[in-house]
Amino acid sequence: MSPSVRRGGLSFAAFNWPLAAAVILVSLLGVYNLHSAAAAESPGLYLQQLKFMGVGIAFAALLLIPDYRVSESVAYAVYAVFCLLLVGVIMHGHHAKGAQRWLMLGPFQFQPSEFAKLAIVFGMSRYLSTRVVPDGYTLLSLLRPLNPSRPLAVLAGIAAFWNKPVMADPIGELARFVHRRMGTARVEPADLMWFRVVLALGIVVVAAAAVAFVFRIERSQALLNPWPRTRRRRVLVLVGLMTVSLATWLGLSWNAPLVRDPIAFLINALNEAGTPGASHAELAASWWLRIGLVALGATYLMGSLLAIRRRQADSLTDILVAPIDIMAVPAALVAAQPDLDNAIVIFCTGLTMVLVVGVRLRTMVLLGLLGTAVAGVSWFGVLKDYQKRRIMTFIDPENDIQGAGWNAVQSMIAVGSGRWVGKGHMEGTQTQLSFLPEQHTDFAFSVWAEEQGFVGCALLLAMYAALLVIIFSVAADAREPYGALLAAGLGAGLFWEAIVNVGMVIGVLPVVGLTLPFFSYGGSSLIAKLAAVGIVLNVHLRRRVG
Amino acid sequence: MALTAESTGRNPVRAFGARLGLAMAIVIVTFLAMLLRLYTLQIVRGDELSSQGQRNFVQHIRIPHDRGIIFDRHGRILVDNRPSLDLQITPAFLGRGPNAKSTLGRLQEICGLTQDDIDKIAAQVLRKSGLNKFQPVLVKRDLSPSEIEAIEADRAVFLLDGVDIVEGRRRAYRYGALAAHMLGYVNEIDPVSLEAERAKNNPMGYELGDLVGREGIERAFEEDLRGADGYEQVVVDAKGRRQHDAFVTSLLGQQRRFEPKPGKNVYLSVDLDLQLAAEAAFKKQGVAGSVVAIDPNTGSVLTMVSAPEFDPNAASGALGANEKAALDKDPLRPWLNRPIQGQFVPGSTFKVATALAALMTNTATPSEHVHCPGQYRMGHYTWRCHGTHGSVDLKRALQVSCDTYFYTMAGRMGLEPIAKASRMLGLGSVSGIALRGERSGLIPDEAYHNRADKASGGYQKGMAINAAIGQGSVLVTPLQLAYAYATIANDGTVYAPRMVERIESADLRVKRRTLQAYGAIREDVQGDAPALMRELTSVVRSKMELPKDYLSPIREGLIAVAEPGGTGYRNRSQKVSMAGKSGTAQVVRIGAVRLKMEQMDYFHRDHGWFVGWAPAEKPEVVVAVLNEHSGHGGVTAEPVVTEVIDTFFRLAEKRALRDISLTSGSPLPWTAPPPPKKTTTEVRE
Repeated sequence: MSPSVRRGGLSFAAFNWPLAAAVILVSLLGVYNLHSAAAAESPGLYLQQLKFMGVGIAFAALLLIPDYRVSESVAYAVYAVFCLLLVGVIMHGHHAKGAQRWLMLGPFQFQPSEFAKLAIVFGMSRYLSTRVVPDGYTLLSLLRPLNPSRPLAVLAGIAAFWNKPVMADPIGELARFVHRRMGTARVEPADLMWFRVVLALGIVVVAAAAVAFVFRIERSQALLNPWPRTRRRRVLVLVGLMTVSLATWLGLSWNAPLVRDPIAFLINALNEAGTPGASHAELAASWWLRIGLVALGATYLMGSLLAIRRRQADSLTDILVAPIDIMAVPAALVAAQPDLDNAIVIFCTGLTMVLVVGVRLRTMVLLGLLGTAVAGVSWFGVLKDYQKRRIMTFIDPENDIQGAGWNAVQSMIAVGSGRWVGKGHMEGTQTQLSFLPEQHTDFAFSVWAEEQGFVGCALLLAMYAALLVIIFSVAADAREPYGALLAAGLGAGLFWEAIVNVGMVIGVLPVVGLTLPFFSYGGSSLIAKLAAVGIVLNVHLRRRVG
Repeated sequence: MALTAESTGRNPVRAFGARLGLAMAIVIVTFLAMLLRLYTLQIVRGDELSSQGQRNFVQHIRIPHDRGIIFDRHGRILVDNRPSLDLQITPAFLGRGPNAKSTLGRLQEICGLTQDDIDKIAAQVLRKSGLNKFQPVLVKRDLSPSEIEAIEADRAVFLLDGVDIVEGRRRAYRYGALAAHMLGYVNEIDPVSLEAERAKNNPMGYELGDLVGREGIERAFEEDLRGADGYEQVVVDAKGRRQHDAFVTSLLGQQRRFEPKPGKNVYLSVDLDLQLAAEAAFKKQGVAGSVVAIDPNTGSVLTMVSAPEFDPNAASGALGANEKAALDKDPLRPWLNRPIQGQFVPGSTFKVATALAALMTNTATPSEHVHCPGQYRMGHYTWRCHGTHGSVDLKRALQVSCDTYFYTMAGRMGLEPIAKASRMLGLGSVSGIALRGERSGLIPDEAYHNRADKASGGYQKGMAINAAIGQGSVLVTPLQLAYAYATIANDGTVYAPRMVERIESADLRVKRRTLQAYGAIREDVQGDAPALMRELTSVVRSKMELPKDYLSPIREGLIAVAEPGGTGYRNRSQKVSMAGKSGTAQVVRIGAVRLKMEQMDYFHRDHGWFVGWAPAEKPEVVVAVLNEHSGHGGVTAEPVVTEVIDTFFRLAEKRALRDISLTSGSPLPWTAPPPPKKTTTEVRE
């Protein structure tokens, strides 16, 4: 079945008119909304946004002309250029809201992280399209812990930190790092019953698994030398002893601080370690730490080099790069700006693309269970509010938690007061009195919700849903994997940003610094997103027919 | 493992299809879930939320903290805080209409602000946008009762929306200008320092309008003295009036009040009584100068006076433009902290360094005699002595301050040994006192003269002869001179100045008395007692590697100064034996004609110095006095030294008497608080 391909297909009928119309409509609604949202602060802003929209559409139109498959050969180059631009932002970036996100390019300033979100889709598409695994990816093939690039990175890290204080006094440095981020105050430990229960169950499960493993070896023909009965017995006794002693330990320390709340225990222990005169001072100037680390790195490198031969990989890319790397590099660079929110979006986009290519069911179930358990249980079930706040400030010190609480409340009030049909354009009191922070960027949707009500929101959300469904169907109709992944990846990026932003506005997700695609104010964002749609339209033009 | 469409012969995009279909389904389900949530918010809870939206907002109200208290060595308060009522405007509630203009106009009238001030405040108010509109703008600190009355009265007539009178804190310098330079003052942080503090990642988080220590102890111990403001989240309506609404308060979460954290208290080594006596004694003798009293056995500063002074209470508020200009332009430079920032010609007080150099180089033995015919000749030049002393040895030379003796020594050994000896006494380098802007003084050596006097041929031997009597290029600070004499007094230890003895956490104890049955009163003490945070022990800068009593010939000479025939005999202490050295430093070059003091312009008159210690044999206190442009040191500076020394011993006697009565158990009106125990927890470095 050789698919017939539309050649030079710039015909009226081949163009995806619904997609283009939906995008332009949403963008125009965004401009209309901006007219009201920025009226109090900078009334001319919507004209600026209109200009950006024009530039974006022109850019998208240009991107329609060449066959998108041309980009496959330059995909890695595009990816690399944007990673370098992100490095540039960290080194010479322009400060905004406590983070460096802007780069000046002549008279223009732009946010490379917006374009990096496109670049990662190019990189991932190129990589994944030539590596479609029939049975799907496993955790191991996603991470490839034995790639030589990893020990090399470890060694480079050791070299970079060779003369840093952390090498002389690692525990003290870690303690001081925690101090700087979270202050020296003692954390009041919570009482985490679930943790102890999970620990107890874990001991039982591990013991059972060990016993099962021993019996499986007994039956297995795979080993050349089946274990003699004595060794089996010895191992079983050992497993039993360890289980009993672990269980005894857990029983005895059932109320110990370490088991009650390990996170608080760790933080407090570090606080103590950071106080001058504590025992960590003995570690000072420990040359053996460096030697040990180098030896560890070298061993790792040797192991990974040995592993290459046996895997008999045929391309250098495969030896050096794992799928996770392509997502992790730009995500880490964006996170270093620091812009944790966009880093998470980049990561989620990449993971979605891997899911489209296929992940082995077992891996998916494992990852899903693990992620849901950890995130859900710890965030919604167990941790107290102040603990969450502490963790958030630790992860992202720029994040103003006090402000975030305020924003969430104000946003919910604004949305709620919209009711069925809203207060009308320029009539939202929350908006016009500027009670909403960032109301023309991050909280643009709450302005819309206040002024246009449930009807307006339903319309807007329906348009987004339609837009995304069309993009995914373009992916499904693509001629070959590269085009499919391109469209799917771009769609995934839009999807994650949109739901995180809307979720934040309606108070179901934490307040983060993400904008609503096409709708919020922002030149880089709008142009990048319109360019993305241009690429999707291009994929659709050269789609598979029949 | 690398598979492509071509190699498998089937298009993998077909396999993607199912998963992409799943993605579409997820998109639709997610957006439906969001719509459901919107329905809940907008339709189900719409009325409730929109009523909140019309009325209520959350405002953070700052609760000011107490800055640390500064105590003297006996626990008496020198600086603390008093409450003040400040006027502020919250831009969000003030609005931007004509009402706002009239409100500002009224405030200008009531508070007597200039047009300039009010324009500045108006600009600040207008600049605030978004959430910042809820950050209040300070209009005036420390309102007077009549101003408060006027504002409250106006509320009934004009609608002073967004105008609040809030409780603030003002620094109270209990003794006015006493020790102003040492204590320093506080005022609002300026934008430049604010940026610097933010760049330093200071965890205490300064904000515009916060007070920050500017000079003296206030600045040097800013990190200890400053605490952290607390805040309270309250629900207010659109006009800024406080509401008690159950719904919005529930959204705020559990904790709504965060208590302020007071700063730490600083205990100085300074003695309040001695400082008072020193300032009074100095004022009797002169207008500008300095008094430094130190303990030669620990290096503790007991008193430090710099005259003329300024009032830190005034400097801590907004000093009026005229007052500030007057202080800035005063030729006597009241801002200058003379003991550490003033560099002066030491005159004869420097002769101890020359004597030490002569001893160390074996230029002369203590008993060797030199003839003083009233002048000293070298080559074609002549240096005059202020008298004709005949045959003098070291002791006699110091006693009568014979210049010829020291000219002769310098003629024999040159400049280098003098420079070396003075550096050993701690001159010519900063002493490391905690205060800002300490100057190092200047001890010239040959290299210095070769560099500075290059044009006139570099180092000449005559320069050594000038330096020998503390003239020429030699410059010292009063503090340095005091420590140099302390070094001679304690037989060779150069101490670094120690001003702060210890730092304690704030005393948070609250005593609660409750009436029990039958009129009994129960007393409960709640809250934390002060804990010792940090103890600052005395620091030894250097120790002279000299045999024991090597310095005693110099000490004998200085003791002889206060004996019959010495330059300091007339004004010596009648209470204890003392030693010392007077100095009269010429400010302008020695001319052909010596004018009488009255004939000279004030700024051309000689500086009077006296540095002394007591008791002569077992020194307990060293006092250095500089009386600028006052003439002869033995006349204008020594009485101050004597007065300070007398007061020191009078106070010591009083304390000794009290201690005796304490041990004998007689009742006293108060008891000294016991020194706090050192705690191991919460000690910060």
